[in-house]
Amino acid sequence: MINIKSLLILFSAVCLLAGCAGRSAPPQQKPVTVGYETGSVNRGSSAPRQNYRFDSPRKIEEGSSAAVVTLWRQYQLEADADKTQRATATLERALRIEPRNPFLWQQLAKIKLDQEQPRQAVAMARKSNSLAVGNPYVQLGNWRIIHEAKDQLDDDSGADFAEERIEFLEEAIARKGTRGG
Amino acid sequence: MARKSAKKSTSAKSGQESVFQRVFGTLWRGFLSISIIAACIGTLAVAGYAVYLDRIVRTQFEGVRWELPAQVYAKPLELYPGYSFSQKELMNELDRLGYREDELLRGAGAYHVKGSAIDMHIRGFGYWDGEQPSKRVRAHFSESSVATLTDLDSDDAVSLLRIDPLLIGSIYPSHGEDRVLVKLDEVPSMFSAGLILIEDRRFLKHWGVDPVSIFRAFVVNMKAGRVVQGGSTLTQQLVKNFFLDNRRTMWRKVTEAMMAVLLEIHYDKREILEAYINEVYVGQDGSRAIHGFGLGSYFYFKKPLKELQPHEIALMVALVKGPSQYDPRRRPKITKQRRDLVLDEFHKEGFITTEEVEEYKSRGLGVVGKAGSTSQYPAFVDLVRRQLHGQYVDDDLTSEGLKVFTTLDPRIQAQAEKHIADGLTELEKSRGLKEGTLQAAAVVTSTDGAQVLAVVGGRNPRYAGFNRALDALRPIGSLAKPVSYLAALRQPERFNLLTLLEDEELELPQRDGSIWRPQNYDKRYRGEVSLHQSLERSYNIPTVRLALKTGLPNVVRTFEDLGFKRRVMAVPSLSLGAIDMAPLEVAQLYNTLATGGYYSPLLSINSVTTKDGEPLSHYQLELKQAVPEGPVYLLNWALQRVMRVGTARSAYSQLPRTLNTAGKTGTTDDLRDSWFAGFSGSRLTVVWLGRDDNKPSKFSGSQGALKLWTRIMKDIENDSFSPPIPDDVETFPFNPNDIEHDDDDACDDGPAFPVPFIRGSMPEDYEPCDVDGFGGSRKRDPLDWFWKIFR
Repeated sequence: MINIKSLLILFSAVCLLAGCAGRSAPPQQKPVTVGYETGSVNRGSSAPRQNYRFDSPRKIEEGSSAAVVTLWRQYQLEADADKTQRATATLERALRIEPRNPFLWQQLAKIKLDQEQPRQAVAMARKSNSLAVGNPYVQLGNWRIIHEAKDQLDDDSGADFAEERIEFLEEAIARKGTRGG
Repeated sequence: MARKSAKKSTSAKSGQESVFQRVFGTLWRGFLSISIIAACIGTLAVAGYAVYLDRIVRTQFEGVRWELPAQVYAKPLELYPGYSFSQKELMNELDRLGYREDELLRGAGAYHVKGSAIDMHIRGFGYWDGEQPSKRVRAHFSESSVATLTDLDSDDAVSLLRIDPLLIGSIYPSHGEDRVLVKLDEVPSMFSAGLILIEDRRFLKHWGVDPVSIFRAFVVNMKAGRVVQGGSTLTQQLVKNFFLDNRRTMWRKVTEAMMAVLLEIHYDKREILEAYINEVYVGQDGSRAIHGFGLGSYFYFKKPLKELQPHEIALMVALVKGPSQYDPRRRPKITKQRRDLVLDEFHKEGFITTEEVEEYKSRGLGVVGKAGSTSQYPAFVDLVRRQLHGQYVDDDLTSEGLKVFTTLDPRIQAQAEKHIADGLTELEKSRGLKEGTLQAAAVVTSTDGAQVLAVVGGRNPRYAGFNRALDALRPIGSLAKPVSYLAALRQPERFNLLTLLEDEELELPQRDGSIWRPQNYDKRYRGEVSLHQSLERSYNIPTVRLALKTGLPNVVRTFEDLGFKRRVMAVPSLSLGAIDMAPLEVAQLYNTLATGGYYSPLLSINSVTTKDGEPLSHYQLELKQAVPEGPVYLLNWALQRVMRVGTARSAYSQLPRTLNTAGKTGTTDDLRDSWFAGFSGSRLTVVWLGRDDNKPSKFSGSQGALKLWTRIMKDIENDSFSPPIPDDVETFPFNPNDIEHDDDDACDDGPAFPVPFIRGSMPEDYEPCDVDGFGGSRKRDPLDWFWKIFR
């Protein structure tokens, strides 16, 4: 069972990396109930079906307006000075300028995690993921947050799932790296 | 005898005299004693009264001198290079904020248009995150967006510029006193000097009471035969306003004089003048009394006191004599005469030159807008007040001078107000209805930020009465349908967008024994329709059947998940909108859809500070994944089709076709309520239209509310709705108009579109069209055999 699963993961990853998934991937399993009643995502496979772009922005400075970068730097200064409330307000100010910036949502998720609000952290990291389709770097950061939050929540299966995503993304990024990408 | 008798008589007389003297002496002494005692008692009483007054004066003057209403501010405008904001829009914004055109940018609150640029002297402002100093900046525009921002003093590029927010209202106590506190240092010197000149020339010389002025006023009044001049000093006027009532009795005058002297003993002239400037009554706005020149300056000129020009200062000073008599909005002619009189006095004293006095006298009063409301944006401030009530007690809100920073966007609010008012008039005309028959309400939010940007409580947005956006609980009709469809799509093993639904006559026995027979809007039956078609065309019977199959408790739960807080009854008619909601509640529900299933409580407040800028509360964004992204993505696909081919397609007669939107019409029985809720990638707008007497409005959702919605959305900044495809969603090409889906020959009947499915949930007997890239040339997929293995 594990072998089949691993093979599937590997196959999907190879397809994705080789650009085989140019069109939306076809169904890979029979219709099943996919656990929506608990609000979790499809757990049929740990491999995300996305066309990852390895030239996606890795840092907020690479994919945001100058205005947001200015506020980001202000946020960092305030956070370093332990002015947590003010720092959060600055981040939210940036979010009002770019409400669909996944880096900002990710940082808010980190803040929630630090504030021991794991449910909020998971929601914000997922929101960031939904806005960072195709960006493996942002998604990797988000899954790490989700993993830690799930640990805080004692949700073992959720943490395991996050860990699988982390491993997949780390492996994909590493492969791309060795190819000079 | 005669002598004897005379002697006797003399002695009798002297005896009488001595009796008289004794009696008189006794009486006199008694009188003296009583007088002395009375004087002592009187002195003691006066002294005691003076001590009593002294205590009142000191306690009230040194303690909280005023109840300072909370000041409510709109969202500040943030400018940055690349921001889609035209030069004209910025000019409008600066005018709204009371900035004046001045080529030399003298002082904050000035701007100058120069070709494709605007030079601005931005006001300093104390925000939640600290003080932002005043700044001189040039904004260059390229077409309809900001190209560059440059600091005019350092020549450095500016990456982000925040412009001081609009004061949109205040939360004042029930007795109606409203004010904005100013410090004497912030008051222009001409203002203080002018006020003293006109109201109390000898202010700096007297001790609270001025006998010279009283005598002069007495003479003038005697000559005139009526009261034409008062002898009260500024200090006495302050005492009267601050401590006493308006009764004209001798005792009150004595008390006023005593208190004025006491005030002068304890406080210096600067403190008394500052108090006067903040206390004096300068106008009336409905039930709201405008106190102090700080608020008066905003009330009449929409800008801070320190930015008033000499002719504006003269008007403010002129008003003090009688704010009702010299109301510049109601009685401009007589007010201008008095203002010019004050300007003449300014000239005589050398405040302004001969050329200046003529120039200023030639100017109009320059008063902005119309009064007659209790706040500029009463419906929005009402929402703010309600959100604050959970956290602050009434006294704090009405007396501590809190600064409340809200999410209101004045530009969007203005558009929403305009289109509701104009749109209603047009709709009434189109149906021959008397003007004023219809009412409407609207709420606009920023979807991802979950912020309420605008609230319109009725067609007269300045009227602070019934707030329909928050309080008009009306059945929502078909606006409820997406909730049933979402509940169904959460069961992907049972339902997808192409699932066939029966559209045949339906009879449902009720608890009371009666039979409920829902009907389609057009009273027709279509046999079978696909799930997405049923939503696009807003069919009733398939919707009820779908809700029943899905399970009513699941529908109820989805209402709750989307953010509806009140109790929902699990009855079949729920699926057709037999549930009352206010527009704001609908906005909350649809905002969760617009964000892909992430619920955030809608916020109208960002933060609250003390009057000195100390942060008190920051309203953080909260997020909860309320509904999984996949089913919401599928639902939103169908709601986009509502806009393109369904009941709301008329919106695209005005909206640009490149702007993707999603939404739903709503109509209730007998056309009583007309609803529309819809969103772009950045804004959600909900509109209700109906009548206050609940009689039929004669408009369906698409004939009424949609028209208003379209007008609003057309004129506000919007991003196209293009949600990212969630991980668990895959798309296949189908001809959406083919309801069988098991024969790819049907694909020849029309173009194929990508139809989303929850991954792995597409039934095996479905045959997607063989289309290369959805819409390209049709050809067989060489790997078809391979994909089928995995199905």
